[in-house]
Amino acid sequence: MKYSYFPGCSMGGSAIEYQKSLNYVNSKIGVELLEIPDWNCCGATAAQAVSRELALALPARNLALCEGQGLGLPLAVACAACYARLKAAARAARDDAAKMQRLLEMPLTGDVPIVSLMEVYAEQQACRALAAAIQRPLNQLKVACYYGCLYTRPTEVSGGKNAEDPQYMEELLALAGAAPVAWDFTTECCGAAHHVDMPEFCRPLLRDIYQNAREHGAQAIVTACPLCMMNLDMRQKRVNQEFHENFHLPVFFFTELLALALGASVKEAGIASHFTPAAGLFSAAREVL
Amino acid sequence: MARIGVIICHCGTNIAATVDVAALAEAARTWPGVVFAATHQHACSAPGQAMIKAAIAEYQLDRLVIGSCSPRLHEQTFRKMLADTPINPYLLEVANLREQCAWVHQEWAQATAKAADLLRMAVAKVRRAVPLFSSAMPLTKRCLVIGGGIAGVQAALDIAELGYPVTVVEREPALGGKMALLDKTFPTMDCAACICEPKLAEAAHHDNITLRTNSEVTAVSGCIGNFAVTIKSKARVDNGDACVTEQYGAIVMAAGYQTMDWARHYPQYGGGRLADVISGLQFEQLLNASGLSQGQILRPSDGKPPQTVAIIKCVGSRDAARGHAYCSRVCCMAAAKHARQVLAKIPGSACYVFYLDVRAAGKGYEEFYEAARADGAVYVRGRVAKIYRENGKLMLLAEDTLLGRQLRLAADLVVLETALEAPAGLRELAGLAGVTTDAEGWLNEAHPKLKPVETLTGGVFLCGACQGPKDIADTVAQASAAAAKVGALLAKDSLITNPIIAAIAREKCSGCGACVGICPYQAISVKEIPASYEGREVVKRAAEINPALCRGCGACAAACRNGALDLCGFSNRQILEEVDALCRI
Repeated sequence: MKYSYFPGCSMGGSAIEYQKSLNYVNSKIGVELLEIPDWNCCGATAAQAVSRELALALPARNLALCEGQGLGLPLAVACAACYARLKAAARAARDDAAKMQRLLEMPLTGDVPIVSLMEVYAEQQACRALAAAIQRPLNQLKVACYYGCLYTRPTEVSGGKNAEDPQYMEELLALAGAAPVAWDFTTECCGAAHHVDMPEFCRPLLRDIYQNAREHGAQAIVTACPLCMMNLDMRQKRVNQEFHENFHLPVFFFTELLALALGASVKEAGIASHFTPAAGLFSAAREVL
Repeated sequence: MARIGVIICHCGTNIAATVDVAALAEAARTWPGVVFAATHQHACSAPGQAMIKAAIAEYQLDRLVIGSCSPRLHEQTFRKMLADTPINPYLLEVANLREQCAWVHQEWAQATAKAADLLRMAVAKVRRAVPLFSSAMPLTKRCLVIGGGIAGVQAALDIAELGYPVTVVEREPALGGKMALLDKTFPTMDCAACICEPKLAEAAHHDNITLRTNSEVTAVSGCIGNFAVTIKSKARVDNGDACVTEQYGAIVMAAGYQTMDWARHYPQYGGGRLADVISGLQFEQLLNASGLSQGQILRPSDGKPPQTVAIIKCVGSRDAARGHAYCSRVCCMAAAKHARQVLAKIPGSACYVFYLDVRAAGKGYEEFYEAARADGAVYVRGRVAKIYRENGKLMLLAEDTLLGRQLRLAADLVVLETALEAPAGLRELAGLAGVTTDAEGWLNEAHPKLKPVETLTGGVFLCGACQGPKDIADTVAQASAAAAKVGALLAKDSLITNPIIAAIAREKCSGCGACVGICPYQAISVKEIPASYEGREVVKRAAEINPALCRGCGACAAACRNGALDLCGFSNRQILEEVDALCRI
């Protein structure tokens, strides 16, 4: 199972646990990710604030480089924003090839299938390998799977099947022995980058997510996006202060929990470096308590 | 030698603006057999018809071609006109110069050339026409009403009062449809059962009405005046299913509606997981004095009365992305009614109605809505984006678009006014009766303004919500209208048959039976007939057409290998002459 791979800027920095844990998972189930050489930032939200053309050209260049390699593999993307921007660029290339040509000055068809990491593992062969390689099931840990807003919307870009309740993560974590809860905030916005410029409007969004997860009995929140992770994990203490709450909800990348279930240590899975203490959920023997 | 008259209608400007009618008339005069050609502004009008009749007399015309709008509109008009002249009404050809020419082309020369082709073909066809004669067919003076809700029951009562036997078929075990499920009805706040039950009781006791509940129509054959309908009654206790086939002269479709399965389409409202988010019909069950809570409004989750109730309109209506594009017409009034009932039954409660518009167009409706607001209902303009549970309350995330602000409401009970939809199985039922449905599944009326209770299939009428969402008042009005149409049909002593049917030359028929399977109306059977062969009397097999069932589609004539079958009014010879005329042979 081979894929071209676009890591995006956070994978080497703020989301290093995501990269570490997905490397572990891949090594155990035989998924190979081939990083696009000379990739650039996808532009995320920042480029859209500068210009439409830049916001399209940045991700489009990555697609062109990928197509240029001629590997003929689908493109796996770890971050939700990168995923959304790459998909938007692919669609723009298909809708108006001439305009894209003028913008990019590189050949681009936009036909490379773009998949999220969740879809990589949900694919039949990977899924079977995953199920077979589970060593330490997660002991029915109650998790609230949180997708954030960008994986499924806008539906014309993502082409997702169920915008309100995607269920990809739930299926993977159930395979790993966790017990995903049914809750209402799976795809509600976490505030994203606006926590930098409008924090007072964004913290209530986090509060709502924690509140609803807790209300539905979750012991932890699981996510698939570096920015969602940062907001939910790093800003939980501040939200507790502001709203006089005591949410103690560890937040994980879904790959961290998969890695644990596949036999990784807490350190190997990247869990030791979280802001909101997460290691306490696991015993010394790395069993879920 | 034929003496053909050609009349080209201007149709106001509908034809004349795109086609050179004067030039057509001039050309027509040169065609073989044409002794008269003229144009007229409106051939179908009284002066137009007078002109044509005068021409027939003066020029001794013996057949007629009219270039005009679609024959669907005025072929009958012109046939009736010919009844007063020496010309047989079937020695007439209508060339469609409007829908098939002037209305679909813009270029003058091309459109005129095409119109000339169409006229030339019509002239060639009418040259080979033979006089055809209708006959009279008896009809069965009984009516079948499909559906036992208020629409079907009202229609049945009216038809029964006109003196005709009526059978009402209802697939549920009881009559009353959706109306019987309601608590009170707007704008009078009558109890639905109190006004509906007397009608149901009357229907049950009327000498002319036969009720078949727990039953469904499984087959329909025949045509106007003589339908044969098979009705299957489902087993009650140990009886087993029973089928009867009965004859009816007319059928009324009164199949009603169903409400949308909102949970599948609105996961953001909890997808059915939240016990206290219910539909309007479910709310009616709570309100009903004979319901589970004896008319008290109690939350399904904990059985306590709600203090804050939110009502959301347009759930599944006016929402092409998740539901239907259309408006379901009754929900604005239902919401106002529900709001008034909440505020009356739970003193001190608060009621919020989330709306896009308020449509209160009927008699007394606007006043009813105003009364809801006077009672204290708070109307908030905006769609609700999400409902979720927090601390035992239902949180609604919405926008007040008049204030331009987001709002968050904590409610104890949420009522969704869900869209009305065509009921399950309507398309299949329509197919049995030969009626079509539209893109949203509602039954098609013959004309939305001028023929609202008829269908394009003669003898099949419709009324009530199966034609489109509507309230009880309009349903009852349509039911009585359909009954009047049925009465007009059944009052006739006989039906004039359509002579445009298949005809068989039995001496050419080999009895192969290919036509039998092709006929969509099962109008052909193969029979043994006496014949002679080399001087001997023998028996041979040959096809026989049932003129009561034949609809004149011509499929059998095309299938017949021997050319024994032909279609009166569209004979093989006529069609080949049309082709020759078009190809200018």
